[in-house]
Amino acid sequence: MMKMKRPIPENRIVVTGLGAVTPFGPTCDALWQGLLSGQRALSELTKFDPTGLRNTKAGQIHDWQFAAADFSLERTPDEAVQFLLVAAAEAISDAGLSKQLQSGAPAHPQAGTVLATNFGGGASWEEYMSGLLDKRPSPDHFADFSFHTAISDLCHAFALGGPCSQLSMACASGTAAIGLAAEMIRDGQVEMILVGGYDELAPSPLSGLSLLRTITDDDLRPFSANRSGTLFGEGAGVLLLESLEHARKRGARCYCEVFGAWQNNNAYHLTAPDAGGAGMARVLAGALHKAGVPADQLQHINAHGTGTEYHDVAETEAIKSVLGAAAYDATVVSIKGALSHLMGAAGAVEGLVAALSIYHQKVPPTTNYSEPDPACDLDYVTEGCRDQNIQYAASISAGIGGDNSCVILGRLD
Amino acid sequence: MMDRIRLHDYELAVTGIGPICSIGIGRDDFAASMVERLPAVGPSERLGDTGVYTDVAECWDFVVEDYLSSKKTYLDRCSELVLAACALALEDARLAGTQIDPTRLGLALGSAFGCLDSMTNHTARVQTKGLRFGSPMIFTHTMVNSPTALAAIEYDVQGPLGTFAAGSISAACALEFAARRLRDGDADFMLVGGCDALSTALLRGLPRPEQIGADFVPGEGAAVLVLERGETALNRGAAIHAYVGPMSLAVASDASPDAVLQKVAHRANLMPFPDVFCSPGTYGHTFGACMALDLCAAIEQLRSQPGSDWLAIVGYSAPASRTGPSAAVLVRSGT
Repeated sequence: MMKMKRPIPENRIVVTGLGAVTPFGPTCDALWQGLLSGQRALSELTKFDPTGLRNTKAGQIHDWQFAAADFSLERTPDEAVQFLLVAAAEAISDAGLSKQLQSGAPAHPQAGTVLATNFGGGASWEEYMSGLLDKRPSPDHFADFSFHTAISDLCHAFALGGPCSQLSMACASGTAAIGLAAEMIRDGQVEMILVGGYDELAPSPLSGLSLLRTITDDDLRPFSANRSGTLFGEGAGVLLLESLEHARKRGARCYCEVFGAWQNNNAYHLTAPDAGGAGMARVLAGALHKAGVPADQLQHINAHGTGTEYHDVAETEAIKSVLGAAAYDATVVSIKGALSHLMGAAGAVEGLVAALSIYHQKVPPTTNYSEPDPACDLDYVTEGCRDQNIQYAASISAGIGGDNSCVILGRLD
Repeated sequence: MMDRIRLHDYELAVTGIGPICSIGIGRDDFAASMVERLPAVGPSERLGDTGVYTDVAECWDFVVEDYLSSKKTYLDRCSELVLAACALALEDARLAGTQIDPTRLGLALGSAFGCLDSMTNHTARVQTKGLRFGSPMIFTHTMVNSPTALAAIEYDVQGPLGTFAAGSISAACALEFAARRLRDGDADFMLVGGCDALSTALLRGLPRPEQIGADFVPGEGAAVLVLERGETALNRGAAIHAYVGPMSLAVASDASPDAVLQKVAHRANLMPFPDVFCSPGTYGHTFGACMALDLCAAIEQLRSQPGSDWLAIVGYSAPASRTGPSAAVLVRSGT
């Protein structure tokens, strides 16, 4: 069959820097090598007493070290923001922009940021509430919890003087942020944007997620017949997006191109997925439409794949309804079995992994898959990492509240 | 027709506004109070502990049931304000009860702090009783995106959607997203605005008045506007309250606190700079709602004094600071 050529837009957007702090370690390479090896980064939760949760395992970052002075900050920010700052430094260095984007340099008007989080400074919120219950609340803890503090810290640490925004669309946030940043560059507002998703493990969110039975009392097995829920983790993922023209002018390496994105809501229920994954189907179809990529040419999907009973079927049905028979030719991978679900960081980290998959033409496996499910019958890459010729890939995310987001990435011609 | 009113491609029509704040609920009430310019501040009737902030700008007479067709089991105050503001905006735009393609209706909202009442309730249970004793139902209402999600469910919004949390410029971030969706033809109508609710957690967490400004009065509210392309509005015979023009998100610096204003004026090719709208201050500082409420206030001012000049609404992420994330939005009369 003759394949349609995607029209090339005027303002093209590329990914030129990547940074990650995940349970695999504080670098992007640790994440990528960990995923390809099929290892798992889950461990006993020790940040706080997990008694009462359905599962005491989580994707916790251990032995974390951070120095506020390295980022020219006068106070130590919340740990979730620390993850973000360290991942951002790696992405900037990876893009070869450390000299331009550093504290003390003049604010760069052509460098902006779009962030994503579910819970902001979650540990600071716990501290603040503890003080409030003791009638000694600290405004400093409240400030460290406040979502916009991360924007200020990031802009200060890296001399970002361009447009800034922050999304909070539950676990769909990070993917939506990549799409929004690409549009801001495409509009000519700015030449480069640091896109980051971040979150940390904290008692109140985990209590809620456990009580909703989103957390499994067994193990996390995306797309498997014996799946029973997910496990949560913490970290940050950062991508540096810039216009192709700007990237070429400075001779930057390009991991991939960002083609288009979409975000929506199921308009159905705060926690239950809609029948047949209609909302997720609309978000995938919308992103493909914005990207100008025919559905049957999508070769790889970094799926949300939480390992919950209803979500994985709904996502599989959504992919099949949009791609048709081509769904069976695409690889569909969930990295959550290896990494856990990183909440507000998940979309950014998964988008980053999709970028690496395109760059290396290699996809990581769906780790800890154990038993085929007739309702989940796509190619989930269960046997280990695989070399794959990828022209177009999608990264899909979904979250509590029924929010969905999807971004389409591809190889740079 | 389009040539006659000289619409630029960046101009979008505001055809409905749904403001809720201490000075009034709904356009007529809000507009009348704008004329009177009387501040609506005083001790909270709802909150027991307001710390050092003895006076607040509360939505005194607000009862969510007045605006909803069905009873809800539980709603956070922030979600109540959003659901009611959406209902008011749709009614004002004469879209309530009409057949809109749900996939062409979008929603973008901003909130600085989200659902703090529910967060406080859930975390207090977790901290005093243990992880097993939080409330799963309340937890789902703690998420910053829950007011947007509930509005999507209530009004069947299946088009583009976003929730923004960037301090007091959150509503401007939402506006920027909504404007792009309309310009790109991704939606026919966008509900867009911001919200934040007063709570003990917020009032005890804010810096002290001497740090934030002696005249600072914390407030609550929501404002939702119906935005559509001028052509869509004219074709359906809608009353156009105002046109929203270019907007800019930026980081203002000590050296140039009005960097956003310069940017937005440049984008609209406006010389000299547009006048900056002066917030009446009668409804307090409403955080994530403030830029949306100020936009409604500016629209009402333009309606009472029609003219062709642009007005700029400028906001800063933290009320005490003219640095950090900031935003500017231009608006001009619809008549």
